[in-house]
Amino acid sequence: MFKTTKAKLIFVIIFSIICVTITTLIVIYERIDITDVEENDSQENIIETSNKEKDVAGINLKGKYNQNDLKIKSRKATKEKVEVSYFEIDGLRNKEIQNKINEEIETTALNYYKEKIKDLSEVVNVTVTVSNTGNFADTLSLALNYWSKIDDDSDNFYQGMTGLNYDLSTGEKIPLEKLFTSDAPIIDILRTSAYHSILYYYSEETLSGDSVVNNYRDIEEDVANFIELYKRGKLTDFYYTTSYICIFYEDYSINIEMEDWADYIAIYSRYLAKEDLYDSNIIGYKNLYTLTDRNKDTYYYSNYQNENNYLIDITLDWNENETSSFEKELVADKIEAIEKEIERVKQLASQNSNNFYILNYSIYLNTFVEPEVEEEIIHYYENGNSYEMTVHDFEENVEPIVISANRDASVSGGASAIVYDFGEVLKIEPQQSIEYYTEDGEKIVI
Amino acid sequence: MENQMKKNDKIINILLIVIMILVVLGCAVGYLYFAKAKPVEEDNNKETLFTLKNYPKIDGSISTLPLAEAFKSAFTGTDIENVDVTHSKTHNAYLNLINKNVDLILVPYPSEEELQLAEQAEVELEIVPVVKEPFVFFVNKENVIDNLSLTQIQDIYSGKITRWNEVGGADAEILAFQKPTNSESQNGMVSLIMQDISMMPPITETINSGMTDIIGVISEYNNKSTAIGYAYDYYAKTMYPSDSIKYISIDEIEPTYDNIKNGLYRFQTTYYAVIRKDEPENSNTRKLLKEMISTNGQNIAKEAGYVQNY
Repeated sequence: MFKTTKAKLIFVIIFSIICVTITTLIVIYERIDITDVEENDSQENIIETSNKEKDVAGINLKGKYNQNDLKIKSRKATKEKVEVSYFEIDGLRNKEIQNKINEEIETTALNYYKEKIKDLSEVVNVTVTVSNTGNFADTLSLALNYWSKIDDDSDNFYQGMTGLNYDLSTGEKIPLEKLFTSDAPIIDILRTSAYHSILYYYSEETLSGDSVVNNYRDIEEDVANFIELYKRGKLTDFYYTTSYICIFYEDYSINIEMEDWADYIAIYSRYLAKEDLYDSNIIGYKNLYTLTDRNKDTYYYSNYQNENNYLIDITLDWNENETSSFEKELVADKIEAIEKEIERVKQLASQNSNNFYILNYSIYLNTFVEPEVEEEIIHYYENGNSYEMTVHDFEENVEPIVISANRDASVSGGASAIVYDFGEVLKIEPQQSIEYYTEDGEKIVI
Repeated sequence: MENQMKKNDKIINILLIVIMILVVLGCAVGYLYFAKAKPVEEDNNKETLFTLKNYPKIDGSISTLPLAEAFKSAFTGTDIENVDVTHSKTHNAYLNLINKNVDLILVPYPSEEELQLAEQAEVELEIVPVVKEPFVFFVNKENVIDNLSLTQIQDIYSGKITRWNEVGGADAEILAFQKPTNSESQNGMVSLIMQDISMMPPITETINSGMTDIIGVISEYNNKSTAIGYAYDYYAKTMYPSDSIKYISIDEIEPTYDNIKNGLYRFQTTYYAVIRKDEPENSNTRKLLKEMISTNGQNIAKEAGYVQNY
């Protein structure tokens, strides 16, 4: 091929140059810093994710939501000086997820106090309580609190709090930032909420009953530290209810009122699962107003139905233990009457779609000893009424009263029975009815 | 003769083939060395001044937390993500130093109360400046105002100027927010800006705290289009998102790094490293203090977002 030595030499030189050039190019290509590319990729991912999540809405203040169909079963555990009250959930269709959540609740409840209490011989006792604070929007939020007396001779104690927050469709924990919409000004929300919450701890009551802050102490540093912790992903101890988010920071509870930041709170909409998550759909209340809550266990009987053109809101409070057969009969009769009335109202509603119907009663039954006759008296008290109006009237004038009454009642954990007062807008007041009976069922007048 | 030539030709051919093989092998070795070998990790080979075990106990203000982390990371050769530093806030940090719970604190200059506490405990403090921090004024990003004179700021906060159009802005009332009494930023406002001029009463609000109303609470800067607020740079950067506020210059001088370092922007404070004066000459605490103010330490501080003092 190459006739002369010179030609061969030129070939080898060209070959060598080509080899070195190709190697150099490959080396340069391989040494380009891939971190930049990765960063760009992850940046794009963040933008993409945030674009995707722009659709997650804040809270509709006139909107409604459903409680989860979970059974909450109380559990107790006692070991040495430690007494633990916690619970487990039942009713999730996916038992694997349910077991995972229950195991985590139990493990946290039994061990969380060890963060501060290394040796039980140092303390008198440890009391751990787990509360179910948010059971809606296909999520579950729990607050864990432990308290431990250090010795009998002083008021010294250990205390700690944390939260557990679950996406029920995956069993994964929910991080704080996911409670907010993607466009939420989280720093502003945290700063304002921290400032207001910490001020509460610094406030002193005046003679007029109001409180004032005379000493702002370290508040600027505390608020900055709180935000610094958020930026570092270290605000992990929190829980939420239907109306506020509570973040534990040092010895403070920082409350974020959802009503104040409604446009930016995503918890009502982000985790709604498409598939049917639960074994049944009759356990939780349906169509409760946003930022309100109710607890079925509070009442012996409750009936809440909030549909297109009727609202049924009836509670009956009665302790069925150690009661007379007459009392049981009376309650059964009353419930039968209530349910007949509910059916009548629902029938009216289905026949008159332009009208709105409300059936609202709070009933309670108790016994007391009448000193004059020294006999146990059964006291039946009923307060409420039924109302009829146009759908337009309901939406414009009546519904705001209903929402407001529900939100006020929820402040105390949803325990209060609600009797709506529409006197100003409908000119009809709730009516009270009181009846007294002897144990034998004789109606009497007191 | 012909045989000899053929023989030579054969040797040359073999030689050239060997050269070509060597070139290919050289390229392969070069490729493996330059492209595949991991870059030498400088930190691993570099000797650090301290280990996590013998690093002195540090405390300080919240505003110096990133500085303390940067120092600990660099001086112990620990990744910053794995550095565990907590600061118990300014006053507690002084108490911890006086009570000998910590060795060194990174803080603003001590207050009268803190100096007295040290004296009562018979602890002499050695106070060494480490970094500078600007005191800044900020407004909503949409506000047309980019500069105010010192006199204008004093007039705004003493209540003489109440509308933005009096200083070249929109025809709107100025919402001049103040900081909580005795906070680091409020003390800076009084000493650096207002000097002997009295400040007007702050904007206040009533907060509903569930059980009672807290009245007369000093309102937080809310970043409305007509608002103006102030703070030390750390607090401003930490507490207000940078995409919604803008710093303004004072007397046409912006609070830039160079202007702060060379003192042109004169509204600034210093963060100090404070130790007990009886700290032995060759102790780790003194070594650390020396390192903090060295060129290396000052570069670390700059990277952490602070202005070098030296």
